[in-house]
Amino acid sequence: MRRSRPAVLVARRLLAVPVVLLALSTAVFLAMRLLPGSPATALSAGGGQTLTAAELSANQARVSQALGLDQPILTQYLRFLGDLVRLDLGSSFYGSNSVLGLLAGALPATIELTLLAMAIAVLLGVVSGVVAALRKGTWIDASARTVATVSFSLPWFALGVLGVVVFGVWLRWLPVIGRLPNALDYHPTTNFVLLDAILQDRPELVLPWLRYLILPATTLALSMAGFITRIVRASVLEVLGDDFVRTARMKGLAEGAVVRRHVLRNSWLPIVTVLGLQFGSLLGGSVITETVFSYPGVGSLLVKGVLQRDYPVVQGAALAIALLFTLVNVAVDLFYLVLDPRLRKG
Amino acid sequence: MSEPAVLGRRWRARAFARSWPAAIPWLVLAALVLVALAGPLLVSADPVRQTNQTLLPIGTPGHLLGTDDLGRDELARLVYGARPLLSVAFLATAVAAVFGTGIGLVAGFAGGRTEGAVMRFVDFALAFPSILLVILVVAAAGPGTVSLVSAIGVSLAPGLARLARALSAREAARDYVVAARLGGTRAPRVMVREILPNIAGPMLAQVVMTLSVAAGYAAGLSYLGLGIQPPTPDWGYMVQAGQEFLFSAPRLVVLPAALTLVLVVACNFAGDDLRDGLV
Repeated sequence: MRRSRPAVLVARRLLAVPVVLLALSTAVFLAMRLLPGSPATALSAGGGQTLTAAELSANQARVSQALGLDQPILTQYLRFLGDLVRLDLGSSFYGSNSVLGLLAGALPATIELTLLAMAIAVLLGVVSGVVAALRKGTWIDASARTVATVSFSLPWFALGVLGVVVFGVWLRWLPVIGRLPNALDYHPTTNFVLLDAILQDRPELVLPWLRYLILPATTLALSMAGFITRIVRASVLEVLGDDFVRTARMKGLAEGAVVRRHVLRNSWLPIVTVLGLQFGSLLGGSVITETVFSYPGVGSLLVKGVLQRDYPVVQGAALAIALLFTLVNVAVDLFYLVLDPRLRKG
Repeated sequence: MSEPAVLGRRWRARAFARSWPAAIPWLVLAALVLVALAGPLLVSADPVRQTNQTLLPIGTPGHLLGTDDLGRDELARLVYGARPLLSVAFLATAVAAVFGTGIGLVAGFAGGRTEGAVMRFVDFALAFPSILLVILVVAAAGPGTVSLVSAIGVSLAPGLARLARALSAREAARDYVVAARLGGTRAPRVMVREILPNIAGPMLAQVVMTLSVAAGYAAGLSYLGLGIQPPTPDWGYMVQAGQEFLFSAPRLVVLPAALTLVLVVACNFAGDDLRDGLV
């Protein structure tokens, strides 16, 4: 069978994005409307006050009308899609901030967090995976594998909170909550702190930013690092037995150069696969981790929205996470084409 | 009972804890389950009764682990908190095991287009941030054991379905399955009586690993305030409530968080041990 040309493959991947996004936003829409316990019931229940049945149903009717929930579901869906296309995500029930504005502040924070977490995970995972494979059968290998087993599915909230206690409370090395110190005079241009530090020429922003970010990012990274360790170890062991590695050794390359130039290069593909597969879990973890550290990202926006029954915010945050998820997976797919020439031509 | 199916059950022989270090996670799990079941009989203090003796330190006579911000006995709360967490984790894992094994078994056995379609969906569901869906479902349906168990269970089913598919596709090609089918046994019976017993071992190992994820999700949701509702004590919620006293009484956070970690890590090692013993 003839393989498609790269341009066709790229185009096909990119065309899939709106389709996946439509499916995801429909799922979010349905989750918000079809399940028992409609927003109207929740919202009209009032904050802790006891209401009479008559008051409650009057409230419900009012909220339903305001949210358009009294319309037929198809009308609601079309209106939802129309708003979505115009990027009108509504505004929060509390303080009437536009959801888009809230996301513009929160999304960069989440992207910073997840990207740094990925970088930490790759660094830890690749180093320990390679070392474990090169020292196969020794205690180093055994302990790397034990750590990888321990780190599987560690609950982020417990890990994060223990990190806070150790590094924030007992050692007092790192700040406990937030994204930047309150005293710091920061006027966001893009809301990406690193980018703003460059754009505004303020290198003094970088260090406090890193000090706040390192603990949540490491919390998020550990489980992924364990996965990457396993994958890298297995793929390095496999590649080490290949002919081209023997050839490289026989032509007198130093062991370090063999590992760097030949072994590692061939281990990148499985690592990228893991990154793509695990990014979803990382995003999910960021929801909880951000809450632990009161880190102002999309995750804590979502949780706050859920607890306050602030449905436009919940909807917007869920869509933002779905968008991020889709884009990263497309990026991973495209990255394959760059990394593996075999996928490019037949 | 057909002969090959019996032969296939080798995995039953000494599949777990074949050395003393490997026994540790099983002992820890057994201890936690025992605490969850019998714990309330062992501690006399009331886990929900509030007193004015707030934030007593560890080692106070009558309050071995001190009291929390509302003067409730911390030890009693930890002990009582084991049961809701473990029951949600076990039930959700059972839901995931039934759905996941069922879907994977049918897909692997049927093959062809059914298999392709099911596995495409499963792969997508696996990559998707499932905790997000769990949060949305629990938020919409309201917190409660039923919504927690079903949301977590359904979100963890794809991982098990994937393994069940791979295993049963392999088994479906074996002679004993072919023989049973040629002998006129109908497909559902072949799946349940011939294939299922032969994939049960590796599936069980994965189910134990899934238990660790389920426990993490359940505690994580309580931490967010979406799980078991107060005043019922629960480790996740205790961590969240204790965070306010991070500097004055870090133990309120450390103890429940550490117990959650111990539970998850014990499941990880137990699952790992089972897998080693079965392969």
